Amino acid sequence: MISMIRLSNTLSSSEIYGPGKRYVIWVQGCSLECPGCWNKELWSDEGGYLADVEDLILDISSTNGIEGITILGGEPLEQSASVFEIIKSSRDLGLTVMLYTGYEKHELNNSQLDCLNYSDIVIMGRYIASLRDTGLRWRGSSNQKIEILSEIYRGLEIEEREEVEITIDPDGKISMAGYPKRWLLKVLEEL
Amino acid sequence: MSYTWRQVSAPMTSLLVLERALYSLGGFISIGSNPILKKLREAQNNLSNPQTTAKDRKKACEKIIQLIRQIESVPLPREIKVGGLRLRYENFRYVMDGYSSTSSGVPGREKMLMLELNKAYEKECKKLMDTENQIIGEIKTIEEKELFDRLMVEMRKSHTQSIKLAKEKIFQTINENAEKEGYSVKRSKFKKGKNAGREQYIIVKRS
Repeated sequence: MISMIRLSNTLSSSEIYGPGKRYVIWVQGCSLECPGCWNKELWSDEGGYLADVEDLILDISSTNGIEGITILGGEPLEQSASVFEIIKSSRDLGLTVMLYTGYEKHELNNSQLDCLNYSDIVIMGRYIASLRDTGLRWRGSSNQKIEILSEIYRGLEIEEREEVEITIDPDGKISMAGYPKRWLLKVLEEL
Repeated sequence: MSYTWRQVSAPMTSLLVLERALYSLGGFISIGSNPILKKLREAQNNLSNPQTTAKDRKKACEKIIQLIRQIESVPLPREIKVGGLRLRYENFRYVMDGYSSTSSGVPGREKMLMLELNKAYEKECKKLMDTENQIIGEIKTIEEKELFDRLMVEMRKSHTQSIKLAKEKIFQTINENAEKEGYSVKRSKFKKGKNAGREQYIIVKRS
């Protein structure tokens, strides 16, 4: 059977969502709908596009120079079967896995817990707008926890910092990841 | 009640490609009173005209090479007119906006025009960069082939150089502003693999 996953976007190399260079996958659809969320356009489970999981894994495997993958969204654990397939295949390729979820551990079912157990790093917890802090590394609000679950990253020093990544494709398409401050948005608008 | 609408083109950096795209849509561009694009169009038409003699084709080819080198430093026009509509150049894209009395969005004519412009620009880029594709026409002698190859190289160079300059400007602008705001910028250029040609800037401020 062909497994499908609803995605919003992918970026084949990024340095701001986890250690080293990583293949980043934004899944589409999130029922948590945290107030003040930055990625509201990723809430709808009808938006984005349907991707064949096998094709996605092939694309990951053909990307040179990456240390791992990062899955965020949207809410990855609302498509846990397909996400697990991606996580497991990526690990088989020798890649590390960083997973974002807005859920807390006690809210998860077995299939969702499997995704966690196969990940190296998990960023966990709802986004809370009143606790928003753009100076945090890899997180949007200070309640969100970084859980290091594997030996590979045990003892990893995480220096807090504000990071934004701008990507310019060969055809001139500009995309941005992270939490840009107003000055940067203004600069890009006025280029 | 009135509604605002806005149409933004794909990124466009090359005057040569833009001229060819607009010509394919039945339009043309001018840069004030500078006749360079008119001369370029005349030479391109001479080259593609089947009635042109071998000697004149050679002359047209050399003229185009010379003109391409001249337009390299010419920025894209701040405004172009296509199909009776005016488009402004902003942030490496052509933009048009306006008001509508209905909420149904962009008027059909404007929407269609932007789609056609994007399609024409993309098609010309592809034609230019496709090394298998001869956009020149029939080649009769080795001398002609060599000259046409030189022309293709110059055209491709002009296009890729325009993208390079645009990226440089974007980087410099971001870098200057980042420094003012206390951020540092790390620039990465991808040279190999499927990301070849991609650039990434990581803007960082340590807490």
